[in-house]
Amino acid sequence: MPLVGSLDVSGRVADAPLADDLATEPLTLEGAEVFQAMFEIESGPMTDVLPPALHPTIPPTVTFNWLRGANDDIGSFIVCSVRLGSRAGVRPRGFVIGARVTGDDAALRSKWGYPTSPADVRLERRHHEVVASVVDDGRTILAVTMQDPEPISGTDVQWAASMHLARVVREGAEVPRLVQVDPEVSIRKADRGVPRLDAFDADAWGDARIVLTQPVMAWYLTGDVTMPRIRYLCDPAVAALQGTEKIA
Amino acid sequence: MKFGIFYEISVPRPWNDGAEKLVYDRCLEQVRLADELGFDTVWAVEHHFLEEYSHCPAPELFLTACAAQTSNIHVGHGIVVCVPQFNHPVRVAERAAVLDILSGGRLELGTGRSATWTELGGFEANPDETKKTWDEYVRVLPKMWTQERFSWQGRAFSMPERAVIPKPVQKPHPPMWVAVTSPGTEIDAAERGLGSLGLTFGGFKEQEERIGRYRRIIANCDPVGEFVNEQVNTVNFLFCHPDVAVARDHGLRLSGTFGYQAAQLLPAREAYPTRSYPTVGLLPGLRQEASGPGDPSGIPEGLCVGDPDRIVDVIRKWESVGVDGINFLLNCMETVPHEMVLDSLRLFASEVMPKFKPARVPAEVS
Repeated sequence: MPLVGSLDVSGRVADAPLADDLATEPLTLEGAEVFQAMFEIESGPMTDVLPPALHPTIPPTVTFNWLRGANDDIGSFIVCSVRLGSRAGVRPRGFVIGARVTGDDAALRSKWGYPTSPADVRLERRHHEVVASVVDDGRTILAVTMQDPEPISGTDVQWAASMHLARVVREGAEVPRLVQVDPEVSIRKADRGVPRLDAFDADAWGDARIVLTQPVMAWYLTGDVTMPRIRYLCDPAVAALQGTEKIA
Repeated sequence: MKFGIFYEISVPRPWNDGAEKLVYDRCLEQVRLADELGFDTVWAVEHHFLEEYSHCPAPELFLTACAAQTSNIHVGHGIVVCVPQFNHPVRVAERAAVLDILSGGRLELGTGRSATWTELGGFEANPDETKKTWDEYVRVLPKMWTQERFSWQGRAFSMPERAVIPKPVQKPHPPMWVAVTSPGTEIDAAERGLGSLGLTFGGFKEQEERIGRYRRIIANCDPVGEFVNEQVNTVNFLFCHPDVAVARDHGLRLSGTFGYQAAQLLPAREAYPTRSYPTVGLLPGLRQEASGPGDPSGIPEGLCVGDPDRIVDVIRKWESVGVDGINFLLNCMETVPHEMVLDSLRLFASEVMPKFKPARVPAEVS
């Protein structure tokens, strides 16, 4: 059977956000921007960096995802997530090992389980490139450039759901769960290009075992991003087919 | 109606010494039996790097062994990946010709372009280019087979005049097919006079519409080869057992395992935003059908899983929408015990096959 994760997340639970107000209604971020860059990573630790709920993709990948959005109810923010390519059963997922945010993140943490911490997160689209970075405490821990953006159809963009390790309350007890966050997007404009990695400090993102090997592709889009109501929680220690709970 | 068997050659972990050989040996035994039972074609895919899902990177070698161990069954070399980073077109033509010679003129050549980043990225191929290079390949292969000397100034490749040898046994050349996965590829097949190797289906109604479109267009096509190969094949799982409940349990485990394994790979569409790959590949329609609702027996309606009567009914439906042939996946990850695969083939041949084709002169059946 397929390779499966072996990461014991218990050491990460204390730092995981408390998602005590899981989104029960979708919330739209009008005029949002999303930039995502995918790279292949070394396969050696591919099962060590994922929890048993998830399978690694073949080949293993990491995606860097920037989302800039604003909404009267939750404020404005730009958040960058580092996600490992994976599968929950047969479904494409990105297991988020860390996130940095500039702006309002209380709702991101409590409603959708983003494991954010503050940093200087930037995303800039120029005519000849898209430049994105994360500077934490004066140190650049991630920087990616997509050169020569090329317009594409929005239907060609694939944005897999994220799995955020968070603490949630189930039956009166606080337990670790993977919160499935699957935004929908109404795309106004999309571009693609080959990403160039300018900086990546894997240790700063919580797992020094992530070593990038080669770029795959990047895309940038503008549109209305609808943050979902949370429908599924997944026990990280159990295969997703057995450990997924439908909550709405 | 023609019946074939179709190999991805999946090998479950652990890959101990002999694990891959055991699977290959079992496949060859199934092929020998299928030949004796009257199956028409054995197809073998070309895949690279698809761990567990497919350990079949050199199908022409497997098919050479098949040809050497059989008498009648055709050898379907397909799909061959028509992308320069995988195969130079001259090498495709050469290998196909040799296989046609060694099989005594039993070669069918299926063409395609790969659908995973796992493979395309591994060969550093550009997903935007694969449909274009495929189109060039299917036009030059017949020329390489039929012209004494061949030269080419093209987009995917160029070469000075050379004798591409040997030539195939079949004249003017072996039948050519194209893998039809993405919507619209049946039109590509029809416009070029190629057989539609339907690696997908989306239910009877959609298949009927796509076959109708194929038939209408191919009637006035400009063939890339020396003749029109108007045939529509689809792919299906096969598990035939007298007890429908046993058949359901094994058949659904087979189809479920196949879908689960395929999902672990990285489709080109997921990794690389491109109009060139509108679907995820790796038999998406079959995987979708296999996970769909079941009929009263609990088996999805289009699957060739069940007792002989149920499978006869299913095939009649495929026949009624215009399918000329069905190629069966017999196993995946060795989830079905090998002896049961053989028994399934025997039962299918004795109880189902005669309903659709003239009885063969009795052969010695092992």
